[in-house]
Amino acid sequence: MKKSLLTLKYLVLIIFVLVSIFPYYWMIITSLCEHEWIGNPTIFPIPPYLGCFKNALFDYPFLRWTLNTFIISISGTLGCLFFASLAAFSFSCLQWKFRDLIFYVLLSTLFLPAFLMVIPQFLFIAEIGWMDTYWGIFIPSWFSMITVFLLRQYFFSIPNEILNAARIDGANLWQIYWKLVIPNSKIVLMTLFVFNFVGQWNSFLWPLLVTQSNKMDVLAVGMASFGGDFNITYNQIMAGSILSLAPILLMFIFLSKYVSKGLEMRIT
Amino acid sequence: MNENKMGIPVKGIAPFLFILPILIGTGIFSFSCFLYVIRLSFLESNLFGSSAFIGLKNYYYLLFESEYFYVALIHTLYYALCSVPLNLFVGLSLGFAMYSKIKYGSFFRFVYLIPWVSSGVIVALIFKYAFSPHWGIVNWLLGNLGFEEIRWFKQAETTIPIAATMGAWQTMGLGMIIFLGAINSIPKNLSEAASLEGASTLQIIRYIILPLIKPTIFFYLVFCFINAFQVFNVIYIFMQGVVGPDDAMGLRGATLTSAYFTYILAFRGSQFGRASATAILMFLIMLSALLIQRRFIGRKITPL
Repeated sequence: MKKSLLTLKYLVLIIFVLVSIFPYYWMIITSLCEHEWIGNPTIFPIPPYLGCFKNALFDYPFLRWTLNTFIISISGTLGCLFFASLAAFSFSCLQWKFRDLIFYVLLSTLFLPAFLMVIPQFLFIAEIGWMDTYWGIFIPSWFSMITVFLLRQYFFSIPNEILNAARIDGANLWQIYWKLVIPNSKIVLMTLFVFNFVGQWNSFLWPLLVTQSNKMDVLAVGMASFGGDFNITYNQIMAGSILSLAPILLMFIFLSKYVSKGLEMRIT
Repeated sequence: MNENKMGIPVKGIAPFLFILPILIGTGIFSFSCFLYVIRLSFLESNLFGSSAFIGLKNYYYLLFESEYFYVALIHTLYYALCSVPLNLFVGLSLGFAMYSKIKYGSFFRFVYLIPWVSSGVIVALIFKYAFSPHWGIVNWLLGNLGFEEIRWFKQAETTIPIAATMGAWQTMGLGMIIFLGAINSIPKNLSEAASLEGASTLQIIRYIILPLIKPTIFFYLVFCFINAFQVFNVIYIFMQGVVGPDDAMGLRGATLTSAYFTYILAFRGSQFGRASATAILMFLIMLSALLIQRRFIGRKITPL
């Protein structure tokens, strides 16, 4: 390849790296300043001021929000993977009448957009008294047909011979599912776990509707309430933002390959 | 491999037991809720539980009487108009830049995906801060260049491009992965042959790669369009504190998009009937986008 073209490529790549990183850099700088910045910006405040982090952590139920987010993300994701893998197992490894018909009918729910469905779902949750509860937030996310779809695609790659051999050896269906199919799908399950976890952690609209008390808020909703409060300065908001981004970014550092894998799975 | 022939033949109710949780869950949260929202759109429904059947009146109100429905629709289209080309441009540039042997490829991939795993709310807060009137870095830069301070969130003309830029910034990693995948799937010998024949890199891109990834481009266009129609989080954050209390629901002066309009109708105004009708109209528009996509590139699943 010509040298000029290669230079251009790296130039584009580096520009986008700067574009991607700069807002985070700016967020960190602001959070370490003592006052809301009015004059000239600094490259890095010396000495860094940590008071904003202290405010965010202790003046607001920030730790509680983190715990809430963690609880709903874990419960939502695990439940979703369990029920989706059960269904995907039946839709791929078992052969029965109307199997594919039922699958495609269920799959059609993918076309229902979130902002349409939240209205009836909200009224339903309110009707059965699940407002402001953890399960009100995470139970609706258990039934994810896109996860069923992706797992089913993967389960199809398990050879029929193996399934039949297990059957002949006297394994019942639950054993085939739990001892053969699940252990063989660890990587894909991990990928979907990371992917769904990130989605749950960042979900906003549904928790916003279901939570009513400040104590039940998740991070996204709590941070949004920061944004609407005139008494909170931007450096405090940025400190809170860093704290609420930290867990998911830490996870991403170690598991980033699962995220890009999950994206590739979803789009192809 | 034929899907239908896969799996162990099983009789009885065992297969149903495995799908039972999903069957019940989607039955409640998707199918009944969908029917319910259709029914709601024909009702005059408010918080106090009184609901009367009023036929198509909600739709009539939205299409012919409401001053906000078309405003929201135009803003949404404006957002789509800003964000779709921007997304495409960013995704394609990154896809081409990442293509073929790149040093530190996994590092770049990691960096471009950071915005994508970040919460939309947090990202919106950062952008709101950057464009805020007194403390924002953008106004500071403009001030140094001799321009006057701009109130970015006062009017939709500026709010929506900012929101669209933020959206494109957030999805750059996704665009990169999609287009990199598409370019990588083109057989290498095609471009090698062209290169031997003396074609320049630009010619290869123009005459070989671009035509071959056309379906992906089209898929991504529709994907971005559908996402644009659902833009909510960023508008919600941008509008906090901007909306004056001069009318009950805070519609006036706000940069309404359709999803945000639906949200306000339902959850601030408790007008569930009208909100449902709005959402259904939006749903129909999105569905037609999908049908067009299907016509052009065949079956490909685009979850809404």
